[in-house]
Amino acid sequence: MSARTINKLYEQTYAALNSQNPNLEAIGKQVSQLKVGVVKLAIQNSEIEADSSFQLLKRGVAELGAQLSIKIGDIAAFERYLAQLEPYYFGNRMGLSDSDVMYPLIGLNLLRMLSDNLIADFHTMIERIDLEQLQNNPFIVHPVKLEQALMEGSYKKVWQARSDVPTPEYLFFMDILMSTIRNEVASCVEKSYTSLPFSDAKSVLFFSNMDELLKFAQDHQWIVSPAEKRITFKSDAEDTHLFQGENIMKQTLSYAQELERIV
Amino acid sequence: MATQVEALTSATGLISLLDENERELQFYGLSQLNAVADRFWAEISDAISRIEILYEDESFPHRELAALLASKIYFYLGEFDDALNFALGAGKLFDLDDTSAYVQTVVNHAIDTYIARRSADNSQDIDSRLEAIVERMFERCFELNEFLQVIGIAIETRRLDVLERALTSGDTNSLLAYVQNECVDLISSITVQEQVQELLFKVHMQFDSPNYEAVCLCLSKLNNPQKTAEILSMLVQDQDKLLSAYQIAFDLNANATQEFTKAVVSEFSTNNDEASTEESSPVDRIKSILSGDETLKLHLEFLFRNNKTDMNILNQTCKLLDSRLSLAHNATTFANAFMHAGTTVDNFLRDNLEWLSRASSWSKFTATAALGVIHHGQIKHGFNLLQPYLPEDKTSVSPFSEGGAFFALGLIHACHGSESVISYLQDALISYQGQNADILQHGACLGLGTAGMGSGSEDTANSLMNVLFADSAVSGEAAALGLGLIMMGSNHESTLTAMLDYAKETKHEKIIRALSVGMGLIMFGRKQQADTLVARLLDQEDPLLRLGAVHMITMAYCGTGDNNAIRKLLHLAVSDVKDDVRRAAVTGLGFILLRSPEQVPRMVELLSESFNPHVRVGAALALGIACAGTGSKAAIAILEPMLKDPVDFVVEGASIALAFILIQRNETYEPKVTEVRKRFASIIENKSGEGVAKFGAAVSQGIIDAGGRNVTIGLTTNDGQLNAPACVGMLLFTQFWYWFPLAHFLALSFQPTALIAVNKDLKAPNLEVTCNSRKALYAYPPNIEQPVAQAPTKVATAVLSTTAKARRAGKKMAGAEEPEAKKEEKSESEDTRMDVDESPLSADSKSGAQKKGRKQGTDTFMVNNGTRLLPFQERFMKWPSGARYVPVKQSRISGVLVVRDTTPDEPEDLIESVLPDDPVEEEQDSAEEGALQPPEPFEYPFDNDN
Repeated sequence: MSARTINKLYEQTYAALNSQNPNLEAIGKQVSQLKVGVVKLAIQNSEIEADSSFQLLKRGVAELGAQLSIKIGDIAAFERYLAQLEPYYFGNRMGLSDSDVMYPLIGLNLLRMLSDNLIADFHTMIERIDLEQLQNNPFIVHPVKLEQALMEGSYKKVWQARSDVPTPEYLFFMDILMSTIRNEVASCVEKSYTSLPFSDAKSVLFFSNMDELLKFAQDHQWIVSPAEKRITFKSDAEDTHLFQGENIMKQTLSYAQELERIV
Repeated sequence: MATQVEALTSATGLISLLDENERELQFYGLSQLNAVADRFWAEISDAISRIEILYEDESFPHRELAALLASKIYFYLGEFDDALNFALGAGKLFDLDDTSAYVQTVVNHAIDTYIARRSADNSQDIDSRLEAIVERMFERCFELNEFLQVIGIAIETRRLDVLERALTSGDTNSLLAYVQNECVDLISSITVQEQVQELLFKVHMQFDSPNYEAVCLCLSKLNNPQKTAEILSMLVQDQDKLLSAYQIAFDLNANATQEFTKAVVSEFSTNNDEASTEESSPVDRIKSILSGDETLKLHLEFLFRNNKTDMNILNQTCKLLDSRLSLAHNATTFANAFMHAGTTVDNFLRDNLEWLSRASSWSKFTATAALGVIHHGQIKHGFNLLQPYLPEDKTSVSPFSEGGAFFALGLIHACHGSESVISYLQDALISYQGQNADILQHGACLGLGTAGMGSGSEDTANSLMNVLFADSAVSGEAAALGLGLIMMGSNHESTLTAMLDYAKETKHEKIIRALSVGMGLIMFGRKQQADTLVARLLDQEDPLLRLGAVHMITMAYCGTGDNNAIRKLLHLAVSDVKDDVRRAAVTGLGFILLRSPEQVPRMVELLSESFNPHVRVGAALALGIACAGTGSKAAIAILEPMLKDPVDFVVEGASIALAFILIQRNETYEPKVTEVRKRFASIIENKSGEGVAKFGAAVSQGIIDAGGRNVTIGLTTNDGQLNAPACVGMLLFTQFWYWFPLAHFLALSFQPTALIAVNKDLKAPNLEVTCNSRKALYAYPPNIEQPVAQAPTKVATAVLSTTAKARRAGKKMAGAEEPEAKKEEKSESEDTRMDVDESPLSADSKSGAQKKGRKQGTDTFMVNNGTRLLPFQERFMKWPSGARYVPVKQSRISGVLVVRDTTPDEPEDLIESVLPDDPVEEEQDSAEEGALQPPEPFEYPFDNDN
């Protein structure tokens, strides 16, 4: 495949992805064709790496891949593409100008980290973004605010943020985030209450209807009594820490031995 | 591309390519990662499992690249085994010619692994890829002519084929010498060692005119007396090569075991039966040299003639130490014995009869045995000298002095036990009954062991075994040591089993301890062969048997520097619960590293500051033993503070170690000497001081001036071979901790440092060798001043024994006087020449030379035949060109040299022997010799014990 056909294919795929009803399967095939094509070009001619139009193409292909993977919900692939895009988005950006989809993709990546509970990675990433963009760019501001809300524990705000996403693609991660939060809350609730009435449980866990709540309760193996309209949590008080005499003895003896060896 | 790589701040993008499904993408990722591995290895290491999966995927076309990348990552992670494995998997992609740290390290590791696999028994299952790498390294070294490197690796990998190729492709003679002197002793497996020796022999014999000296050294290592005797017989027939036959015989006597030389003598006699008709034929001479008679005679002559003992030191020490205490009495005895070791000068004993008479019981034993040290090597007159003390008619009257006399007899005949001495002592083992028999047996056992050292005689061993089984603590102890000495280095299995079984059976600690030393001696130099027994002994609950394991490691790996042995000893030194074991383990380090003394200070530095005094004293002795005679500054720096240690026996150990290190050094060479000597004196003088510290200081005074200031501690021979009797003597000396009389064994470690050249008649001609250095560095230290009775503090003040006037004169006349003095010396007869040495004139020239030397920086002077030549002086020595006598062997100057007379028709100027032929019979004749009058026969004023 020559550079020209690759460029052509890229244009086509780009158009197809941004159309109203994209055929995701076909686009997926085209994207992998593109990737292989680009790499083959690089292997054939290592000089080409220095060419900015080639780098532009490489970036474009990776961006296409990233967008596609969000659409089909392939988080691992999304992560990979973002990793490949890293040299284009940070540092000297390979001498290229900013891409249109750069901040939406970074924002999505931030959101992915939040939903995966990768707080450290999230902050590392934040540090690498320009201050100006960090404060003003809506794609970035959204996940940053979300994170603040999460840290404060105001899950309500998170819940509300779901309604004002900058692009619909964010919803994909927001749903994952919500279930992450829900699980977090559930694990706290289990410890703090012995039982809860249905209504309270529903609001605490951000459920809009009873069916979802009941299913969630079932997944967590909570005891549901429809008569009392309460959920009872299992208590596991028996895991007291046993006194581990043998370990302590071993440790003390080894200290003694080491002391004896001090020269 | 370079700009892109530099721009990269993270390899995550590239790593993510590995997770793609397309092969091309994975390959691209791998090749990119390979290029940046040295920068991003930390990041890539997270994905190592992914890379390994790619390598293991048989269908992946670029597996080798994956292997190379994985290998690099493991290299950066410090996992060299894995790095090597993957590098092997990378095949051709792993470029041996690369000079990067990665390739170098992996190749080194490959060689190490190869060595380990080859030394393991199952050497068949070696990865052929690994072998290929090593082969390629060999080829590269051959291309670059780096033969020494090839030899080193070939020996370690046991590739005798490669070794042979290396030996024949380079300068064969020097390479052979290199292997013989530097490599062979480091091989820890005896079988491989023998294979290498055989190879050396083979290569030597390929020459048209082989270097027979080296060949015979090989043969002595291979224990092949038949061939050695053949070569000697062949050389004796040839008039031209007679001298080199003599030289070989001298060398064999110095380097080989007693067992071997005896075998050569007997083989040689059968080969040359008809030749021995006339008196002193070459054949007889060879025999006499091989049996050691000639060397002993020459050394005795040298030590007697040049005796420079400072009697003031001895008298002072004797006066200050309270002779009523047996500890103090012993200390003086040892100081005297060491100072006069081998000199036959027993004036001190004559002058201090009253002191002597205070000896009681075992100190009487020690004092009598001291005669053996003083007359060490006088094998002709051994019996005569000791006649007054040996029991008459097999009835014992004074068991302690008689036992001591037996021991003395052994010491005189150390390593040269003739039939008569051995049978006499063997007889003594059974002849005496009664309550004191065990004291006599004690002396006889020690004497027997010393005289028959390394002879491996089963007959002698059996009689010692009988004494041992009688289960008497006193005689059993000596019998166990005697057994070890007789069977030294033999790895004699039945003896070892018997000793070990008995050690477990007996209740006497003394016997077990002696057995543990004895077993160590039997394993002397056996290296890996000792390992199984060592492991067995280490498992024992009885600390004395673990002590045996320590002695065994020490002796088996003596002088090898073997890492495993060092590791074992260091482990024992810090982990054993018994102080004795710890101390012995640390001391053992000194023996193992005695060929690389520069390593020892670093190794024991921490141990020398241990909280445990036993470890400290062990560290001191290790330093002393390994650095003996080297004057190592690093060692002195560690030892000096130890002289102020709060624990008395640490002071004792440090004193002895310092004496070992500073032996024969004078103030000009090492300014610390004076300080140390003063310190010894002040320890002895200190009224409130501890007895043990005083003992150590007195013994140290003896050691530092040992043998009339003419001997050093020679744990290796002049040819650099391990001197087995000396090492064993040193180990036994360290046993003085438990039993004082054993300190006498140090006499075995003393090696006369002399220039001794002999002509074809084995007589010493007058000749001189040039030394390109300052004379003052090698001069004898001045005698201390006779102390004024009221001011003992002045004792240590050292001044030259010349007057100020003479010194002034010397300054003026130095230039003119010196050569004249020399001429004078030469022209005069021997007796007067000796006198000249003592006269102010020669002292003038000495001080003159010293002053001149300081101005000019360098200087030269001549060393006469039969005078002192210090080991550290040897490298400045040069045989003068055009001299009348030329040495047969060029490689060294110390030790006994045979010289060729270039003008054999001219009359020779020989140095006459001043040693009385028989000290008892020739009393009257020698009275005429004035200053050199031999001592009166002398007897200890002992009363009978009972």
